Amino acid sequence: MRTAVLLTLASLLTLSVSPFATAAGSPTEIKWMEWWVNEWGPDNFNRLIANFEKANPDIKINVVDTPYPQMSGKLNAAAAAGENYDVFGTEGSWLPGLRKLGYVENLDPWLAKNKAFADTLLPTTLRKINGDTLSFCLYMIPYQFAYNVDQFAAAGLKPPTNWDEFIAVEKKLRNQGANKYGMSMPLSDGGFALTRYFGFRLAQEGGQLLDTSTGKVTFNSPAGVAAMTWWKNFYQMGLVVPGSFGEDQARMLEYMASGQVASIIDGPFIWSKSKQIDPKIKLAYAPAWRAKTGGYLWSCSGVAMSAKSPNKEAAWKFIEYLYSPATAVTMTKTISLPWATRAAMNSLSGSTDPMLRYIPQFANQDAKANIVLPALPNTGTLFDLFKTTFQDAVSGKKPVGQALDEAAAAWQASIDQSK
Amino acid sequence: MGRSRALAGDPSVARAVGPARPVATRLRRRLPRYMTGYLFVAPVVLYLIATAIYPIMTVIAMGTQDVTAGRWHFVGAAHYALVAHDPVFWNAVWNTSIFTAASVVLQLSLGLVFALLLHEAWFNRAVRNTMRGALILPWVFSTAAAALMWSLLYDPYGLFNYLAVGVLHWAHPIEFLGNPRLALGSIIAVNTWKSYPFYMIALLGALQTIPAELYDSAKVDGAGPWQRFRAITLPQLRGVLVALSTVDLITTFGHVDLVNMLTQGGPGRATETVAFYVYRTALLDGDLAKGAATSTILLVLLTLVTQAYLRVLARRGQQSW
Repeated sequence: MRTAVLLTLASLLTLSVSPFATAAGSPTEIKWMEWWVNEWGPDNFNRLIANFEKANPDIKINVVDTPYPQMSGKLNAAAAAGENYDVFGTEGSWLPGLRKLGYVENLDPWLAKNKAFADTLLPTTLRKINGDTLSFCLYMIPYQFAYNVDQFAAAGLKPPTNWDEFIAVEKKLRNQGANKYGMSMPLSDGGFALTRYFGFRLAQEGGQLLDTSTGKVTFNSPAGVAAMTWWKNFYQMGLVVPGSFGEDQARMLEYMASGQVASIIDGPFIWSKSKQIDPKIKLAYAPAWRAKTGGYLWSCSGVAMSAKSPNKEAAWKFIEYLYSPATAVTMTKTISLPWATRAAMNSLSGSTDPMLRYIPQFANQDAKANIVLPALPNTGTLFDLFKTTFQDAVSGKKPVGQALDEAAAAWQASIDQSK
Repeated sequence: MGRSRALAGDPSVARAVGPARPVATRLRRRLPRYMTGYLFVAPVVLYLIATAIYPIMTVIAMGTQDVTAGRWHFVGAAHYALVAHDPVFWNAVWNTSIFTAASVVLQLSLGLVFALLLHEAWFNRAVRNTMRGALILPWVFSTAAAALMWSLLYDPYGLFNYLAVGVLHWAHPIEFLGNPRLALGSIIAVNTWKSYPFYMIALLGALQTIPAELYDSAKVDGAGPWQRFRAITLPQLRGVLVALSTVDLITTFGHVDLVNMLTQGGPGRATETVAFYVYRTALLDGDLAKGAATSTILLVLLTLVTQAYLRVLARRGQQSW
């Protein structure tokens, strides 16, 4: 009897030594909600998970892959209903709402515990709201002109190296008789119009979306007016596929992958997405452009941890793995997305990857003029406002200055109200 | 075994238990008569409380609260005031009204026309049955599949624009979903195409219950097709039409799927409906409280519109509902 009691106690002690042990001895399960399986390719994704689980047999990752358009809604519903996703993919713009619902863990104490890990991240990796780090950017996304390599070669075109050459190339690609356009410009999504078009040009005009020190909306500055005017003039040249106001990113992708258009402006992930439609398609970024400045707009998708997670230690371990130098460099190479770590960025120097080789140039040619998309509250409403603004301005329905002033006032009111 | 036999033979036990009667009979004797009726409807009432009344009350209550760091607190009518003063909301109400009115009229009209055609004697029964199957087909499509198919048809490189540009040599493709003047109409067309079969089937069923003698008598009296339609068919279908149009009104008023999949409320705000406004506020902005307040306003608006619609019909001396 005594021996049995001692054996039982010893077994319990052994189990409790492992931080992720459960009562039954089965591995701790981490629920990871994200939208990247198709974007990264199922094989790459599964390998990522398998490597982690192999190195950490006491943790099992339960992947909840969710289509991107449903992510924000599902996360908010989960936060309201108390449903737990230990780790989740997030845009910076979703964080204010989730924080309001008490769903997002402050990652600063976790970083403080592991300074060596914190040092591997870039300053722009940390997504902060009111001074608290709520998520880490997983990869940094610049927006730049991307083109179909084979179509450009067939047409005898070289990738444009500046904005004027961009217009010249689009004019050459337009074939009225064949109902052919060089570029697709989806404008049904305000966030898309803000980042890919307006924000990109705004950075190159020397402007900013917000004054981060005062919280004032500044995109209606003279630089903003110049940026919007440029896009108005471009749009009215009739060089993009008609129906832009009702077109979304998925449709643009179909045009690109099916060869209907030969160029777009988007993030580096567009190549892996296009390859899912046409595995043979070859896309490349044009070299860095410069207008008044050489700034670029950057955004990022990232990961956060649930404040309601019962398995925070295991969740943190998984996050550390995602940002480890080995994972970052491997993923940057395999899926052509610049991981937001120092190791990944260093690995880009000398890269021959057609979507990655210019990224250090985008980041460094005029670092002060870069815009990093801030984590905004009420994103749905703000982006929707911007969609209307952009459409009104480029179609000439409203004067550019008036459209931007109205949007800036509405943005300011919405941001102030959320405080 | 021996023990239970002994108990069964014990007269004191038999007295205590009493004669064996069905439970229903015993309940009927103990309960007042009206209570039996309540017991019968209780499952439905409980189901409605769980699936309708409780969620509605939760949404109404949520609209009077706000949340900070996961803690809810009472803010009264602040969200309602915010929504009521939002011009974007009233634009959505306007779009919803047009979308609903046009969809209901077109779906019922198209459903009625096809039902009448299918009700007629055809030269060949097999052809009629094939047509019936073909006309029901749009109803089989899921909303997502219908939206995808129509977005391809409406595409600048789609079939319609191939005909417009490639065959008719128009200078530019038609921007069905990209032109603010066309977008709402384009979505109404898809919604009509997707939903008319339901109304067609319901009306076809109703047409088959109209006694043929009525038409025979009318023919003997010299009534033409149009007179027979007006004097016999329409009055006989009145009840079904009122019921169908009310159901259609309610379902279309809260419609969000097609708008979300085809235009996301755009171009500009040309196709933004109230349901889409709620979706954006609650699920994209993460402002569940404001979304709940808007949902409550939508519920009140819908109740008022439905009541007004039924009263107008009743006042016209047709049929109270």
